[in-house]
Amino acid sequence: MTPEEIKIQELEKAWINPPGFIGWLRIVNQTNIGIRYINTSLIFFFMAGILGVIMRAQLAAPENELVGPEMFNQIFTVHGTAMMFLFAIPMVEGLGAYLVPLMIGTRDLSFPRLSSFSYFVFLIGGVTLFGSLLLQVAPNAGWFNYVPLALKEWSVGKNIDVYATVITFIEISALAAAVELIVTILKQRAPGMSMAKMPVFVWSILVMAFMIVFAMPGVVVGSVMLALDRLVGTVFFDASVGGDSLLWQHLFWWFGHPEVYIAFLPAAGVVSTVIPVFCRRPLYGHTAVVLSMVAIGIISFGLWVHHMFTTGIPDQANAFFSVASAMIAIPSGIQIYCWIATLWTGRPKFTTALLWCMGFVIVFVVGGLTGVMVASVPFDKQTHDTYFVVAHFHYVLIGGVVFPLFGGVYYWWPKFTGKLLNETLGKWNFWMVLVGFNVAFFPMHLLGFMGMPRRIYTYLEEMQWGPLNLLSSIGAYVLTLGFLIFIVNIIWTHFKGEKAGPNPWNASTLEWYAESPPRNYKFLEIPQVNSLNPLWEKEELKPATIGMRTDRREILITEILTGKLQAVAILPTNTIWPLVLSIATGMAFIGSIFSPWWFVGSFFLVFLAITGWFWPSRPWDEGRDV
Amino acid sequence: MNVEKWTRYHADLKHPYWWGIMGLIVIESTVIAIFLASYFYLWIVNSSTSRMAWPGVEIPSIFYPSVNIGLLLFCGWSMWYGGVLIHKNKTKAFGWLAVACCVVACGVLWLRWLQMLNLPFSYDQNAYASFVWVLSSFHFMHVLAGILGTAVIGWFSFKGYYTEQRNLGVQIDTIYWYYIVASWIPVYFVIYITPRFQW
Repeated sequence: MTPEEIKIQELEKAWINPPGFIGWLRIVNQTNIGIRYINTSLIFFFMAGILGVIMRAQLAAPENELVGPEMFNQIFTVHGTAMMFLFAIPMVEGLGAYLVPLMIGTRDLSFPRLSSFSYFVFLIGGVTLFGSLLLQVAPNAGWFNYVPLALKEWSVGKNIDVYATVITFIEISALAAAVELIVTILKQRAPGMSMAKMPVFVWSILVMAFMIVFAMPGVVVGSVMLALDRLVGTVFFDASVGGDSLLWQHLFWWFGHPEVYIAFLPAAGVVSTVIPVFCRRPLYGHTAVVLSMVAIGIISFGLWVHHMFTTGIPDQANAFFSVASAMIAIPSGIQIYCWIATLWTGRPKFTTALLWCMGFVIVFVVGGLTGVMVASVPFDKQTHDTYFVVAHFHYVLIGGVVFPLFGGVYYWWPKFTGKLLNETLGKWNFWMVLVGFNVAFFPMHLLGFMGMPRRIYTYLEEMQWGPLNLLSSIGAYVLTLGFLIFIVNIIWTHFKGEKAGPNPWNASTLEWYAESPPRNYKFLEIPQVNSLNPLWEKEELKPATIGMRTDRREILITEILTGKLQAVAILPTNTIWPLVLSIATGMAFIGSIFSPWWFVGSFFLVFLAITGWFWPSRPWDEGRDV
Repeated sequence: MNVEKWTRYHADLKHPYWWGIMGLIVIESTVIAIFLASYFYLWIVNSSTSRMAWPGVEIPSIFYPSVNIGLLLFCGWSMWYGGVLIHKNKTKAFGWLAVACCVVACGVLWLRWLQMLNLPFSYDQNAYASFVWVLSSFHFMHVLAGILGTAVIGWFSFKGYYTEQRNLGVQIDTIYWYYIVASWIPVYFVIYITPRFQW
């Protein structure tokens, strides 16, 4: 065997994924965890989408009796909660978990066991939420779950307890993933990759992860307070004894508004990655795009009160938040300008991935314009809680998140699987979704103007909302068919898809330097990076170091700003403990729906699981350099 | 560059775990900051609308919480000094300091327990009372976690796992102790001291 073959064999052994079902539960490799995240969040996306279709079927005609009011409440609450907490965040974090290490030229995330833990927490939380719907005890007070409706006095069953505990539980997953994405990006970039040479998608994930760290604690505190009010008897939200209902809204929207940008920024990062590749030129205004992302991240924390314009807060506060809300259009506009300029000055090749990104620009601009409208207090007071708002945020979220993410899935599918998705089916997929989406959601603007409120399960014929609702429902069915084509495409590609090779799009970033799909160790040698678009440079990439051991999981540590080589560290291997810890944590949170003692008991189980996790395996070496 | 001879035993900013524990601390600090912001929000809302005079119940004694500051500072010091000793390869001495830290921290829990038993209100009396109970219990949980973690670290040091180079676990545990100590000070100041000011 040649030295290179020996090296490959050793790396394969050191980074091996254990076989069998138990082995599957023990895997900590970032590409496996990333794919699990993406697949699971896509499944939740389709399940929540089916709930949306049921809602549209119920609203297609006046006084329809397909779904009763209580079930309708549960359906729209689970639809919104799942789309935000079980699709948008995990999907972007999953993409980050899969792509970031590849894009920055490292072999895994900083805390591989934490990746596995956060995935299992997400899975258990998601299954619990959908399971509660099957048992008809799902949350039923809307995804933002306002008190006092959500307090024990007005919501007697277990429905809201499921919300309060499961949301906090799922947030643990999002927070864990955010920390490891931040540390990986700051400390594990390939030597030479300074911050200025970091791909724009990685920037978007970095900003998103920081936003999660500071935004999620808002909803964690809110839902802990709510759970305690409901289950233990504290009075944080009881206005008769010093509590306050609006405190919930402040805490929720402190998280809830940045949340929109938490989902949007990585999606924008996808667009900034895909457009240049298919225009055969570097991104126009790379620095401006990155600075816009950072600006959006910061400004998004100053907008939350625009969800509360009609709650009677002082006019001065309304004015401040109205201006701040309009202000975020500036960095968003800068990004859109840069994308258009890249398209304009490049030689676009209209692949499915690029079409999704262009569709995104159009749909998102419409959503952005209605966003500027509802940022204005007098306008918002007219349309608050009407279907206009439903139309607005679906334009922003489907346009701003789903479209680019599907573009990203078409773009990176060859990397994930080694096969190219079918372009013809892809184009049918895109156009059906684009048409279906606009037919489904554009009429909702008009329904809002006609006074149709959100969250009603039916309406009278005399209101004259019937025809537009029917049109909207037809659009929803077309939209669903469009997404089904995506599933057909996956199946077709699995059996008959064209083989991709390492870099089928001739892209410029490092993930295309690895094989498709990547080996567990990702790169045979960690490359030295000297450029923002390393694969478009004339010179071949060279190894940054020699002497990394291949018989264990070693990674390189570099300086935060300069990317200068700093150290070599060893990553932990496969283990069952993250699963055990996620089950123990799940028992603490989900058990407390029934009794707070579950939390107390599980605390010690959590400790045992953490101890097992960090237990050093024997034989111990010297513990010092010999 | 040849990294073959480079050490792999990092217990500082060069190891991802150091940054990971900082991430955890930033998250938990944000949680506490949001709790405290909520406290002041309710104080302001109640005062400005004359709904309820804050705190609305008898202000609790600061004796036990103040003694606890001293005890917690000892815990932080013992872990810091333990780190100094372990860098000189005095692992047994570190082990005994870890034991001392656990014993004193148990004292913190005991005093906290007494303090909660003697509070002049129950957690459901009003919002201020809920804050005192929840934040004190939240910190109680952290001290308990610190004790359990340090007990394991101490046990490993007696078994000879830690050396002057391999002591990442000790450093991580110490940083977390600093956080446990530091987080109590703003909580103590806000829930026990600020109600004494009437402005």
